[in-house]
Amino acid sequence: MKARARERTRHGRIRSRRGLLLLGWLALAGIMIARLVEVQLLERQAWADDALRQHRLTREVPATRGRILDRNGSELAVSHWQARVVIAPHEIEDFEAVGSALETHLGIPLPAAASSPGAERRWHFLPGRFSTTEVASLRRLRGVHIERELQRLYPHDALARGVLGAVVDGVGAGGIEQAMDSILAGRNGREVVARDNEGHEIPGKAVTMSPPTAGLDVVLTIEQDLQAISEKALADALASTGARAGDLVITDPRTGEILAMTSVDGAGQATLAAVHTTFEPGSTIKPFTTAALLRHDLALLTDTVDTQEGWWRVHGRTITDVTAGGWMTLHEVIQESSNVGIARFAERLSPGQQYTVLRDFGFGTETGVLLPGEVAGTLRLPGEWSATSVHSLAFGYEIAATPLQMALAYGALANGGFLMEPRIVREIRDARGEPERYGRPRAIRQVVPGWVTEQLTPVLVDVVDRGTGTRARLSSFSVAGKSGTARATGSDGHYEEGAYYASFGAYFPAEDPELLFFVRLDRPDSAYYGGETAAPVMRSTLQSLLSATRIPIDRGKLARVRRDRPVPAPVQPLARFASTDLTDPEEGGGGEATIPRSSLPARPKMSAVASARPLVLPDLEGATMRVAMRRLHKMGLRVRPEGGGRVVAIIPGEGMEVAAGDTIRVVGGR
Amino acid sequence: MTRKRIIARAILAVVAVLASLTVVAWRQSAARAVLAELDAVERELAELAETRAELERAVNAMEARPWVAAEAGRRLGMRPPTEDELVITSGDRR
Repeated sequence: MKARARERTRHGRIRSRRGLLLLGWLALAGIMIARLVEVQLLERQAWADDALRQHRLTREVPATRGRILDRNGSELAVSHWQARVVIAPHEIEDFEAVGSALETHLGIPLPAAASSPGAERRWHFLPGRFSTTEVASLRRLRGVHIERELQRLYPHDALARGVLGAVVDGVGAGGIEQAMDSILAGRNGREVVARDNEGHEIPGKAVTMSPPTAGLDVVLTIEQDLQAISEKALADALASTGARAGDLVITDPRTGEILAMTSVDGAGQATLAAVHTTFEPGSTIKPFTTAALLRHDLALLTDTVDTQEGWWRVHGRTITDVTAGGWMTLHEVIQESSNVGIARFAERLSPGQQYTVLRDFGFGTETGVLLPGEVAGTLRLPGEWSATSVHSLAFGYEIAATPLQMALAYGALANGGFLMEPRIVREIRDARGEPERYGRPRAIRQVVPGWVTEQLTPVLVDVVDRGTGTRARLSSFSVAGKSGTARATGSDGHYEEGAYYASFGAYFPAEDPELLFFVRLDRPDSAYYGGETAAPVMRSTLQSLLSATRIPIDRGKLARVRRDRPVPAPVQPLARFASTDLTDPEEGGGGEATIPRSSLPARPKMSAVASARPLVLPDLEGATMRVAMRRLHKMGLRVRPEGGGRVVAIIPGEGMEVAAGDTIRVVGGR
Repeated sequence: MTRKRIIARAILAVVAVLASLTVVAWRQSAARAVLAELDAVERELAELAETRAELERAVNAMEARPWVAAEAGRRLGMRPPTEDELVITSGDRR
């Protein structure tokens, strides 16, 4: 009985254990099923996304930034692939081979920090970026990884960098890169690549979701060769005059197209100062005062005023000249750049007339050029003028303008009085390379009638031929121009002692202008007059561009307007000047002078351009033409050979004093 | 069906499955190798195109006036002619 009861108890225990075990299994199965439901049904999407993330990689495909081209289609800025080289020391098997390959192909040694397998860092980036050609043979080296990235490249290095700007982190910064960023940038694409279990990309499994859209090409009005010539001329001028900075703007006055624009700051860096810094233009403003007088029939070029002994006291202020001019016509006032003369003439203008003409020439308002950071300059309303403002404005004080504004205003003088809108972008090229015109040349207004500019041009030609701008003179072509010198202000807004801006505005050829030049030099420390420092920049630029092949000028017209008889350089052109001292503009100075009488040499000089060291022409009679030319070239002279055989004469003649750069005629005979 | 026959069929089935899996794996790895090779060729082609563009750019830069004038001045002493040394012959306009 007892045994049966024990047996029953044991079976009952076993059954309950089985039940418990089953319950456990069922609970476990339940949990698993619940988890399965959770993963497969409730969290299905999240897990699916996670799996996709592990096996697929969505990445951006960078769009190629559009090119910037010059007006002839030459590349000024392009985007291209460059490579960064990454060293993985832990993967390198043969350090010697890697080091030698880096030396050979990149010219840099294997960094010490990456030259052993126990290097601290897993990855080591080599400094700099390399072309795909340079890194091509490094690809097969174990432990050397190549990363490609799109980089902005300026094929001519520093050429037009101020105008072009830069690209920082893929975004345009300054210049055209910034102004046209939305057009140049394009739109990045997206692609999905499949990865294996180790995270490596599976080749051929990339799917493009949206292709990148390349940026459009921007064609500028800038001409590459002209830009290069301008930059060289300006750099030479800065070196020879010791100027801190300078600007040179060349435009086509008929269309307002900017053909070259260069600004260099004190550190020699290209900037856009021609657009975003202003200066008091000094005497370069005088043609506009004259235009106002002519337009309102308040003066004729033959009208005279008494410039007295070169100074005039008005409203408690003394305006001075470096000349003692006496009675001068308006023509002579401009030609000799008399402050007293132009100030006395300006009294005939009402403040409203003077203000309106200056404003209409574009002073005091932005030009609207498609470049960032443009400033408007300063031209105060007549209500804010003092009693002497009329006089100050007449010779370029109490007004501030950018070199670009000056260039466009001079352009109006060259273009029958029409002020043109500045153009820097000529066209946009779409994805197929088809050009699409970007705006059209547009006249903002006609500031003065054509007859005014027709009367003014011969005056400005005389400024260059026999006035204060003779260092811009060409013997075979007419140039119309005007020089200016004005005191420069320091950072405190006050005039700096001995600091001047020298400037020169000119158009060429004077008969039917195609090119407009404006030059500004900041604080030249040799001579500081615009006619002595800024005018030669224009001349050297013009001489160089005449011999360049791609410059947009009508050579047929040049051949027609070439002077039949070259105008000789004036001898002692400014002997009437008594002093070279520029008086304080606060008291009305700011005139032009070139050679002080006391420094004029006793011997006759061929050129008005005074050289630091006069050159004396040697006796070359009987020498072969080749020997004579070589000898004169070595002296820094230009030579025009006539005839052949042996030299029979040199003109101007043996023993004559000449200046470097003068042209000597070498006449040969059999 | 005898027990031996059942075992033989099972082995055959396992072998068939293994064989087909091997073939699939082989085909896939071969395809991947070909794709990798294709990728490499495409990359090489892109690099060569880029190299060509680089060389073209270098040629253009060396044909441009900034470089030519500087080099001619440095090596040959070339200077731009003055306006009275120029003979203007054509009326072409660019």
